[in-house]
Amino acid sequence: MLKGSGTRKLGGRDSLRAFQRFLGWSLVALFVSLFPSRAHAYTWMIKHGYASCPVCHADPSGGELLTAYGRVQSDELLRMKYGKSSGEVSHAEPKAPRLVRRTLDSKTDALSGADEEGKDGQTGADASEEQAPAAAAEAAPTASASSAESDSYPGEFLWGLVKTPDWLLLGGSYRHLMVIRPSTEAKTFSTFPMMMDLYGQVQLGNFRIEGSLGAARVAVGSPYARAAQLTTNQGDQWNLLSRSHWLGYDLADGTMTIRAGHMNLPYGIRIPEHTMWVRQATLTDRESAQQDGVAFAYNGEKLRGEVMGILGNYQVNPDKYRQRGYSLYAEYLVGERTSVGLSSMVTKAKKDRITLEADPLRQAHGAYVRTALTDDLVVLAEADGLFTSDHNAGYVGFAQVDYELIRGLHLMATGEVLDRGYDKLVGGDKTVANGKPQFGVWGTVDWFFLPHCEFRADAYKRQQDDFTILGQLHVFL
Amino acid sequence: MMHGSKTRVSSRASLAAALLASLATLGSAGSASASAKFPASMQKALTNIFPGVSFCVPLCTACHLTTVGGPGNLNVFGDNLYHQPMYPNLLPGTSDSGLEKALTTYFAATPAAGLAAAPTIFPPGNAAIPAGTRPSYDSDRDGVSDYDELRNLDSPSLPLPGGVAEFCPADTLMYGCFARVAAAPPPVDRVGLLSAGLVVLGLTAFRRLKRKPRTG
Repeated sequence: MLKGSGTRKLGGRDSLRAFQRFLGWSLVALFVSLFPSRAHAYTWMIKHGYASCPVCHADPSGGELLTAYGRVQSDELLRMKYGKSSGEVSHAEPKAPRLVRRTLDSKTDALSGADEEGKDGQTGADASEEQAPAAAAEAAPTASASSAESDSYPGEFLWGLVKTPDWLLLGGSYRHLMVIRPSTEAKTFSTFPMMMDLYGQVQLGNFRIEGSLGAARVAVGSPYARAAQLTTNQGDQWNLLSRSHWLGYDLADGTMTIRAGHMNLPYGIRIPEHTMWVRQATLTDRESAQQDGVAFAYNGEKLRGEVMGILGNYQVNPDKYRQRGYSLYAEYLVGERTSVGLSSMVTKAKKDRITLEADPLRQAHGAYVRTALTDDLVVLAEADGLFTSDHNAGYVGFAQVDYELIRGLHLMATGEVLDRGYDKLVGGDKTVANGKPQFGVWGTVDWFFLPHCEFRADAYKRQQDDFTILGQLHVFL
Repeated sequence: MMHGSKTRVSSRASLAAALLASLATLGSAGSASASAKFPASMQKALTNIFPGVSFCVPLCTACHLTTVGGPGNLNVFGDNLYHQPMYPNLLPGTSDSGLEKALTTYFAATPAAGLAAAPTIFPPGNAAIPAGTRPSYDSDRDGVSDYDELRNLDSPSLPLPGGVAEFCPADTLMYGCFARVAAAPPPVDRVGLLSAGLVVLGLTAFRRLKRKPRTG
């Protein structure tokens, strides 16, 4: 296995297995000792031809739990390769034969229009990463003939330490955050586990059951984690969380999925930065903004989208705080590696759990684009109008440029703007936070330094906020 | 290939850097962001200033426009408190006593010209806030001062009548499945306990039977 990969240079098969064991058991120990919160969708994967999400994720609109095929691509396309130029690494090599066979069985390649485009465009061992899905799939028969079933590689669950049957997907995520505010006169440094989640999915024919379980401890009054609580501690005690749990049924070879349960809201670009204004102001982040409801997802070759009827978040009480309405997005692949999308959401509650104002009607409508300008440069941008009762109309938007300097090392620059709309109930003069636009800039280094290990550093400055540096270690199973 | 020849990375240097970065991240014990402590400090400070009034731990919306909080997101009351000239720079990380001092100074002060104010009668009994009648801050401009509104558990940032009892609303937002404010602890569910016990016993017996070696 891993023929020709840089990992062999780190010590060969025995060392790899020792490394797998070490990492695996270390992580198990970490989870047990810390009683740990999720892997994320990387929307810039469009540069590799992946405009569609369910090829790599269990959620039809992306995020969190990886499919077997997603694990292969995570190892192939995401992480840094050491000791050997990626130019010498052929992605057509059968790196994970068992998983690729499984992928073929689960027909995931049929869901990606990009795969077909990749086949048409290029050939041979010099296939670019856009070809990876197709190339890997083509290599599968050879692989199945020549490789042992017991072969493993670092991209598997728990780095290959635990084998999972085809009907079961398992995953998890640990994120540890450091926050540094150099300009603040008071406390300047804090560090805490931000996320400790485990996910799983059982597939029985076309029927799917998926769920996540995690733990978090946040301060009284914190807006984070609370809305995902299963247990009912309202103070700074530990709480058990579930950010998603749903039942799904696949139709038309998985091109369509009907789901019911607690899910991410289908809206906008599903970025991992849950504090980015564009996700926070629309209440569509994946930190704890999930809602209960019924959803229908479609993933065609060019068109994909999802619409969800929102019945409220039943982990928030009492009922008057539950938002009800709809949320949807539709995205169309206009080029080989460019897609444009539209989003819309309308919700109504008796009382707003964010502003505590009565009878809020919240609307957000917008558009977004994801495009790979070159093999290494991706641009993501989204703009939404915000229409909330008792507020003037507002808007929110962001644009992010992602440059992959070398394989596994990303440099990102992001600009964002927010105008929530003047709050007529609060009144007073228009301020930057209330009726006037607010601007923010981010600079990011994102390094996938080992299989399923990510270190990310962000420095951001937002108007009327302190300059802040974030350091984040992310290990995903 | 996508990255061509520029992708060669020294494995030892990269791994060393990765390990250092990991150690730096994990190297110290955790605590949440300092500003998250404001609500609890606010409860303590107000309880001391208004003895006999039962204050809840307020949500971030006591001083911010949303429950997300943050310095760029202050409501009218939070903005007044943060920028009031007698106690500037109410920073994240301010101690409980620091916040109480800020609030006391705020209540005792006469607002500068141009800022909304309402006449307030300050009762005797608190040396830090001298007794007497004078104008005091009225952030939401509803004719009732922030001091009087907080004493009545009304919101100082939402004009009356919308702000009545909104500082500690009776329908407090609760999180978790079936979370509610209970009048008393739930009674022990004896039937449930018995059922659970029977299930455990049954499973144990089943496993033992299964383990017995087959004869014949």
